Amino acid sequence: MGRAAGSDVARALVGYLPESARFAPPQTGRGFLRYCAGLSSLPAAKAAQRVEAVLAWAGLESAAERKLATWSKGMLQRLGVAQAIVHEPAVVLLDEPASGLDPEGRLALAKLIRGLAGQGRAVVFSSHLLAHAEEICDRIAILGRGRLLAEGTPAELLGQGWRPAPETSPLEKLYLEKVGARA
Amino acid sequence: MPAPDSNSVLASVRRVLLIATQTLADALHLRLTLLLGVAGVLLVLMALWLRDFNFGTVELKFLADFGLGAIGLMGILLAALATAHLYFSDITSGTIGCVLTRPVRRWEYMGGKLAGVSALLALFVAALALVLAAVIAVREAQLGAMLAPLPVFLQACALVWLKGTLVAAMTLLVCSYAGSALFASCAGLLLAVVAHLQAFTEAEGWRSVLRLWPNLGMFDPDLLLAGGGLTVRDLLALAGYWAVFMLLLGGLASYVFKHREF
Repeated sequence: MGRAAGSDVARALVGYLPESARFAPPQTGRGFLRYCAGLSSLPAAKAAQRVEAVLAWAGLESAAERKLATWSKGMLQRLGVAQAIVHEPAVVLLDEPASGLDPEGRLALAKLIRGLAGQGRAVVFSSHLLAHAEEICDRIAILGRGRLLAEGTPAELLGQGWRPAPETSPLEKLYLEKVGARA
Repeated sequence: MPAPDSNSVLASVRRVLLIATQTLADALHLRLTLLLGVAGVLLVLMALWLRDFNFGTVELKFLADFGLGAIGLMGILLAALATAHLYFSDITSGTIGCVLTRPVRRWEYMGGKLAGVSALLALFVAALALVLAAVIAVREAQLGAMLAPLPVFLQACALVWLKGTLVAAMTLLVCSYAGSALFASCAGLLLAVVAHLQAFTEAEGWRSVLRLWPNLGMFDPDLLLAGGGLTVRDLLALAGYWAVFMLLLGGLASYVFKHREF
């Protein structure tokens, strides 16, 4: 991006979700997002508008005034993505965003990540769930022992015969059917 | 897009205040705060029961000394335990990653934490001081005597608060390199004990070493109540001494924290 790493400008251009984020229990979702927006030095009116926008975008409006201690893991991950984009960064870094999520949460998260890319943001995420990466990513990099071992589009890495993985596996479909959720 | 004023002093102050407010809100929800608050109130009230064992001191003076001692003790415990807990809960919850990847400087984070705990201690001391003032006022009315003018009592409470904030700054310094909340709170309490040793040391060599560390004995309120309060000059000197050590400890904590990886 042509900015010194660690500079204020570079940090304002990046949104980040840490691995296994478990945010402070006494807070509400809206309160936490306001805090994050304030730390990004957004003006008060703009911050309030952005908080409502990302709450709606992540489908968390109805839970926004509930304490985070009562939120599910999937909701907290969506909140994590919401805090990463509340200041409208150009690049979003997500560290193992799908770890520990049930199929419903994983599908909701995949939808959010695709939505971010659709907004023109570069989304970089790390994952050990390779099927998840194959399903969402335009480009994939494989790292091992601190080295870049392979990098390219799924077709480049897997050959021209590669076809996109289905959004849900048969077992996931069955799970969602049984728990009454819709994919 | 980067926020236009993220580099300005005003933006820095805003971020420090935000972190301080957040820290205070988190601290007020801690069971530890409630527990130490209840223990403090019980100790202050216990002075009424123990007043017969006053070792010859005037009763009102005994009540004030015992009560302020209890507030000071609970304040020191709260300063060390809450500072360590609030710092490490940000690390274990991942909140620190969300904070430090924004245009927030490390010193702003540490400054905000220290300011938040200081605000908590101010509320804590004020609440317990109110209980103590009520106890003393009741006995004053019953005995027809007066302990000390209100400004002197307020000065004594301010000293207790200043002492607590210094312990919080010492604990934050330990937190900046420590690996666990337990270690940081124990080390913070140990450093608070060391900071009380200057008054007990005769050897000049040890005194010279201990002068590098805050002397918390200077903030003991018992002499104040007996002597009729501090002059403005003494008060300014004490405030200056406190400010220098707060800046030193906070600055050192920020410096160590700046080089810490998460």
